Amino acid sequence: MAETVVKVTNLVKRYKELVALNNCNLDIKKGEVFGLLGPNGSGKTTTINCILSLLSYDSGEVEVFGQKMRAERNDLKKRIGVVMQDVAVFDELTVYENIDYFCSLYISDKATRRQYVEEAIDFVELNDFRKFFPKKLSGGLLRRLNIACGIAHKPELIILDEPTVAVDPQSRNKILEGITELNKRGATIIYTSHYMEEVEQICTRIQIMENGKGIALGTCDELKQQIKNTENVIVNMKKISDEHLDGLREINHVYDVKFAGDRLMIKCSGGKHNITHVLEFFDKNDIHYDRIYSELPTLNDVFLEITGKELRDKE
Amino acid sequence: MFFSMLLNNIKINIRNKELIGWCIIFPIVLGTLFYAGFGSIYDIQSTDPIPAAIVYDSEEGTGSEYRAMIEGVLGDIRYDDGTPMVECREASPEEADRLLDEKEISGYYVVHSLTDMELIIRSSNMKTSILSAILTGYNQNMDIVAKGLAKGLTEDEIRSAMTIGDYVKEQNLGGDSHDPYVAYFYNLIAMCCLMCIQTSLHIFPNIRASRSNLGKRHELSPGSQRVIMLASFLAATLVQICISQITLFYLICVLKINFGGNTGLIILTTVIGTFMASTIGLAIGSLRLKQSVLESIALMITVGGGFLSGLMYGDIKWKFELDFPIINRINPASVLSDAFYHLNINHGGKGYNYSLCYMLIVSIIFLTAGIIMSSKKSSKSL
Repeated sequence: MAETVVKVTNLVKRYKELVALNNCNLDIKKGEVFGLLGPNGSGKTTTINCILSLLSYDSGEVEVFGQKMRAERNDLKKRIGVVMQDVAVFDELTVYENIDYFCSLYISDKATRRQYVEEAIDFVELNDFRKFFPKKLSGGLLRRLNIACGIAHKPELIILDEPTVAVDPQSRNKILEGITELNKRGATIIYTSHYMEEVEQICTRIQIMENGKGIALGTCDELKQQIKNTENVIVNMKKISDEHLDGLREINHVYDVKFAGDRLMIKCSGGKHNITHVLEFFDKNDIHYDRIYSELPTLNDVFLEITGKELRDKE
Repeated sequence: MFFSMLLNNIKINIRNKELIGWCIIFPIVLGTLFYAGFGSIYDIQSTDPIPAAIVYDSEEGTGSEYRAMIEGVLGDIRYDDGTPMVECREASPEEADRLLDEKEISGYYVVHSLTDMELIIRSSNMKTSILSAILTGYNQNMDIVAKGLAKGLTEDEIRSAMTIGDYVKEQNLGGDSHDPYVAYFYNLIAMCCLMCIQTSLHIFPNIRASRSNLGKRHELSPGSQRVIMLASFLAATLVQICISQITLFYLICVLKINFGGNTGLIILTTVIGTFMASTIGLAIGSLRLKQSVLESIALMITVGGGFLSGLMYGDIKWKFELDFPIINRINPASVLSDAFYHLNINHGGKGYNYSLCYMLIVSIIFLTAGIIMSSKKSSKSL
C-alpha cells in the first residue's frame, strides 16, 4: 500500500459563527494527483492553508509525510511546493531572478540552484522571457512564472490552488500538461479547482467538497458510479407537448425528462440503447428535432445529484 | 541564503522606480528650491547694489550739508567686498513713483528732515527688506547724530557712536558655517534619512502570510523569517544610505552648501539617522494594522516630523523649544537636524552626543522588536 503523504483528520476551522471546515478528512497517497473539487467557498483553499499551517484551526489533526505539521516545521516545508491562487512574484525582479529568489529560500548551494532554476524555466517554457519583468508578461505567462517559483526546488509534494484561474485555454493546457509531467517525475500533487473538466483530465482521485467537508471521494469513474444517472440523451428541438414528455418518461431506464430553452434533457439510469429508444419514440409520434446526441454523466452531474445544485456558476 | 536574499532585495529596492524617484528626486528638488530661494540672498550679498531713489520734500532736506550727510551715510553701507549696498539717485516725487512703477528702483526714501525719513515700496522682497533695515539703521544713527550735536560731540566721536548694521546675514557664535539658512538644509538631510521609514515599512507585509501573497510564499518556505527580514532590512537601509549620500553630495558639491563641521561626521550622522529611520519603518510595518494606516503613520513621522523640525517653517522648532521641548527631544527629524547643528556650531559636543545616543537607542529597541516579531506562526485568518 502506498505511503500516506497528507493525512487530515476531523479538521474544523471556524471564523466566529461561520464554519469554514466541518470535520474535513483527507488521506492522500504518494504519487497521486489528488483533486479537491468544489464550488467557491466550499473550503478548498482553507483546507490547503490549514495543511500548510498558514492558518490555525480549531480542532483536528494534520500530518504531512507522516509527521505533525506545524508553522515552524521547516524540514517538512522544504519538501513541499505551493502554487497559490494569486500570483506572488516581485515586480522588480526578472523572470529568472524571481525563480532564483524563491528557489534560494529552499536551496542554498548556488550551482544546484542555478541548475534547478534553468530546469524550472525550461519546464514552464519561459526561456524566451527570462529577462522580462512580470509586468511585461501576459496573464498566462505570469501564471507559468508563478508555477515555476513554486516548484523550482523540486518538491515531493506540490499543492496547486486553482492555478488556471483567468488563464486562456492554450496556457491552461500547458499548465495541465506540466502538472501531469511533474506527477510522472514522482511528485504527489494536490490540485484544487472548480473547473471539473480539469480535475477529470488530470486527477487520479477526487474529493468533492461542499460546506467545508468532503461529500464524495473516489476516482472519476467511481464517483460517476455512485450516482443514478448513467447517460444523458440531449435533443435540440423547438417544441414538444406535455403529452409527449409524459410519453418519454414511460421509456425504460428514463427517470427524468426536462425541456427548457429548445433543449430536451432525458436522464437515463442503466440501459444500453437509450438513444435508440428515444429515436423510436420520436418516429412513432412524428416528432421533429434538430439534433440528438448522448453524453455520459460529468462530475457536475455527480455534484448536482449529491447536492441538488450546480458545481459552479454558469459562465 | 542571506547574501542571495540581500542582493535580490537591493535589486528590488533599486528598481522600485516610485520609491527611488520619491527618495532621490524629492530631496534634490526641494534642496534646489531652497537654494534658489536663498540664493538671491547670497547674490545680493556678493554683488548687486540695490537701486533706490531719494526724494527731498522739505527745505531742510534740500540743504547741501544735510544732503551730503544723508548720502554719506547711505553710501557707507557696503557689502563685504566693498560694493555699496544701495545705489541712490535723486528724484522728484513724480519721477520716483514712475521709476518704482517701472521697477527700475526697488523703493525710494522720502526725506522730510534730517531725522525723519520714510521708505516707499510697492512689494515685499529681500531687496525691500534690506532697504527697510537700512532706513531703521539710518533713523537710529541720525538720532545719535542729533543727540551728539546737541551734546557738542566732535564728528569723529559721533561717527564712532554710529552703527552700520549687517542687514543680510547673522554671525554665528562659532562653527564653520556662517549661513543662517543652512538649518533648512539640515532639515532636508534629516528628512531624506527619514524617508527610509517608507522603504522599510514594506518589509513585514512582504514576509507575513496574513498581509500579502508574497508573505504567504515567504512563510511557506523553510527559510528563516528572521534571515529574510534582516536581509530585506539591510538592503532597504543600504539603498537609503546611498540615497542620503547622493543628496548630501548634491548639496555639498553641486549647490556648494557649506555645512561646516567634519564631513566624515556628517556622513556618519546620516548613516546612523538612516539606520534609525529604517528600524522605525520596520517597527511600524510590524503592527497589525491596515496598510493605509501604517503608511499614514509613516508619513506623519517623515513629513510631520520634518515640519516640526522646521523644514517648512523655520521658527516652529524654537517655539516648541520654549513651550514643549520634549517634542524636539523625541522627534527623530529634530534630533537628526540638531545633530547636524551641533556638529556645525560646536564640532560635536554634548548635544551631538545626545542626538547620536538617542538615534542608536531607538534603532536598537525597534530592531530588537522587529526580530522578536519575525517568528513563524499560523494566522487565525488570511
